[in-house]
Amino acid sequence: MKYYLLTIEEFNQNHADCVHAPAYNLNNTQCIIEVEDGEEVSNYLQGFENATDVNVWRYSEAESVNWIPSDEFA
Amino acid sequence: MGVGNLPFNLSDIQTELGSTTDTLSGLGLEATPQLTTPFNMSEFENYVAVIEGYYRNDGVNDYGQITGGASTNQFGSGRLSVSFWVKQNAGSHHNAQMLNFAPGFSSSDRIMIDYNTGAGGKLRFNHRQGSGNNLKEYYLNNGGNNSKSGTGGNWQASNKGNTNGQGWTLLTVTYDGAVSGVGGVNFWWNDQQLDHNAQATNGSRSNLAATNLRVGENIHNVGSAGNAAMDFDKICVYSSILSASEIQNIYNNGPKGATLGNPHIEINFNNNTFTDEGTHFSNNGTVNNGGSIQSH
Repeated sequence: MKYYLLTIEEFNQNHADCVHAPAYNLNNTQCIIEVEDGEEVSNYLQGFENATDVNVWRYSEAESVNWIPSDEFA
Repeated sequence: MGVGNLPFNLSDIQTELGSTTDTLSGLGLEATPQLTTPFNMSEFENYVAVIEGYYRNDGVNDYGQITGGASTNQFGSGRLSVSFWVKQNAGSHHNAQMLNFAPGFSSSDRIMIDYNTGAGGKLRFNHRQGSGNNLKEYYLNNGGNNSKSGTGGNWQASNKGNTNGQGWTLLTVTYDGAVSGVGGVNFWWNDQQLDHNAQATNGSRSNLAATNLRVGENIHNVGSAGNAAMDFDKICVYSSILSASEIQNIYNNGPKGATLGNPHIEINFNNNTFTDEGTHFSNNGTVNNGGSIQSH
């Protein structure tokens, strides 16, 4: 599986029928989709080889504020 | 020599048994193959293939879920134990919701077993009722828990702590609901009972029906901060407080091994299915948003 960071506009236009539901950032401007190896994805902001790479990036100090809710038991 | 599920010849069986006969009946087999070699194990009568599997949550936004639990069996009213196997795959240090049992799909009423990165990492059990929490936490990296867990710090893929030979850790919570608050909760890492050395919050609580179980994520959310990058296997709920020797036996048996007696809930992922081999959940489970069942 590979993962791609997309804008919401790109997702809605070209990937809304993807097999797996995407992971959205907190303000719903970007999302990460998960696709089978070999599946063509264009116009992405960033690509990730595996889930570990996604989370290393997403949980980084710079990005976690955009993805991780602070209210744990909301 | 062991005969596996691959094509094999009668001579293989002869060798295995040390026999000189070359007939199926002479070799003690009740067989219905086409009598042309090589045979497959699946051609023989009474042969049931089991592909031992486990559930992989990749930690992006996926989860496993099973519904249809009997409402009469509740957390908080009696004595029970939850045991399950996990393999930590997180490439970075982050929270991980492991199991959520709940009557519905809201944040308010649920039993949560999770890992939290606070204070260097802690395992937690929370009987959450309404907006109140009955929360008991166990620091992994100080006191006796340092050596018991073997983590010594952040629990992640590069620091799995003490595991069996295949990288799996057995986590067990025993919960005596007759004791007020979380006084009846104990947490085990493999066969070691953890020292309670962190927070305990005791709120009001009543019984919760475990109608639904979500694995790897908050039951009310998707893609949360608690999405676990972990493998899971053999999730069991026993209707008793397991003893140290019983937990030792479960640990020794491993994730593919036998359970202890007949658990009330026994979630397995064999033959590419997510099922309760106990008596609680009436539906088959589902894997969602990229979660997958893998073979051991």
